[in-house]
Amino acid sequence: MNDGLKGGNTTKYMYRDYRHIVRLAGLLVLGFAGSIALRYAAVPESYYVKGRYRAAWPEKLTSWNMRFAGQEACAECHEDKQQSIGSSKHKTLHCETCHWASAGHAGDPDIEPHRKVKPGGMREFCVTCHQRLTGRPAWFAQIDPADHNPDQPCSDCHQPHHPEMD
Amino acid sequence: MKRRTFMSRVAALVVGVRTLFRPIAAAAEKISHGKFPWIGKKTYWGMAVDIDKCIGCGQCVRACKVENDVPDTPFYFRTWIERYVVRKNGEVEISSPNGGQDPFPPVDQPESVTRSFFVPKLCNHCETSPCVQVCPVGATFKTEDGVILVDKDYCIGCRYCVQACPYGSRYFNPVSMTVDKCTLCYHRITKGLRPACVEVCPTNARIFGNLADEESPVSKFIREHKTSTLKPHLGTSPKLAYKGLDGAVK
Repeated sequence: MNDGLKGGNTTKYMYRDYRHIVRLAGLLVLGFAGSIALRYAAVPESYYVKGRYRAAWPEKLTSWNMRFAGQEACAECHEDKQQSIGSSKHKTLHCETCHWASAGHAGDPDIEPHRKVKPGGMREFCVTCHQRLTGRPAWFAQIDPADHNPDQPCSDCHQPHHPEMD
Repeated sequence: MKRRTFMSRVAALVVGVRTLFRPIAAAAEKISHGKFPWIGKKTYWGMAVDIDKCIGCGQCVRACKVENDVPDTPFYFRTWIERYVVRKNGEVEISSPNGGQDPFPPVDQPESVTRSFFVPKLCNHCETSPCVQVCPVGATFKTEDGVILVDKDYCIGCRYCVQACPYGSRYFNPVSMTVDKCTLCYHRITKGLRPACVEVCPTNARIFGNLADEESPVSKFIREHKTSTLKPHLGTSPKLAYKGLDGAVK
């Protein structure tokens, strides 16, 4: 505002009066633009697309290689085995519970299944589940390997796909 | 301004503000406890554990390690089995040899044991999970289908979430140098397969499925059995349901 004392260039004097506000406004605009740029640079791609996370990660995770093929894949070729075991006391077992991770075999039959459970060498394996143990529920079949026909392969009496004795 | 005008304007303002915030209040109500978070969703993954069926064989622990490249040394587990031995005098012994991979040893003085059982543990995939809340970089999160994941390309490895998890479900992976945890085998379930631990469980002690689908095995199981969750008093709303959960379980 010109009080008229100096006369002359009114605009110049007016600017002198409010230039600090112009500077402040400039700083504000700069700060605002800077923070937007910073946010743009710091927030990774695909963040906030589906929520407060990178939507790219769950997608990437789905491409992880499977090691277990799943019962459905086994049944595609071995339906007979699935049906026979399905009528036995081992019906709740899936193939890979014993034969173990066989995604390779499911993709290419020439690749052996992870574990060919061999009759004769099974005693160690059967007791993983069937050893008598505190904590195991009473309904579950348990034996004491020291008393239960020691040194005899389990498969002499119990066929793994049909473990009940005839 | 007249007193009457002032009062009516204040009242109008209150009503206006309330209307404005109603959608926010409604959203808050939606995530609060008691309502099924999967309502209106197509898929929402969940798991249930039948403690009465677990035989403590450890196949789930081994399968999890194989499927997900979990380091094969003790104390790195996405899932593990605990054995609880409760004595007649009320003492509780909890053990988990190598996460349940090694055989559980015979107990001393078996005559004083009043009850004993196995409890498989894994991430509870909580609805309001402490781990998600504390992550400083947003690397741990809940997916649209209800699974808690760790973005390993984004995790800075500060392990704050490891400390925040009240269930001990997280560990620091020395290979990836990030935090790691159960993903419910996200790479399998999104292809319509079961998680590896469910696949190999010999007694169907683990039940998995889509909670949003009433006919899925897990929905049926939770509907038809008396189930509960671990540490419900913490308000984390776990999605992992246990049948036959004993008061001694921590």
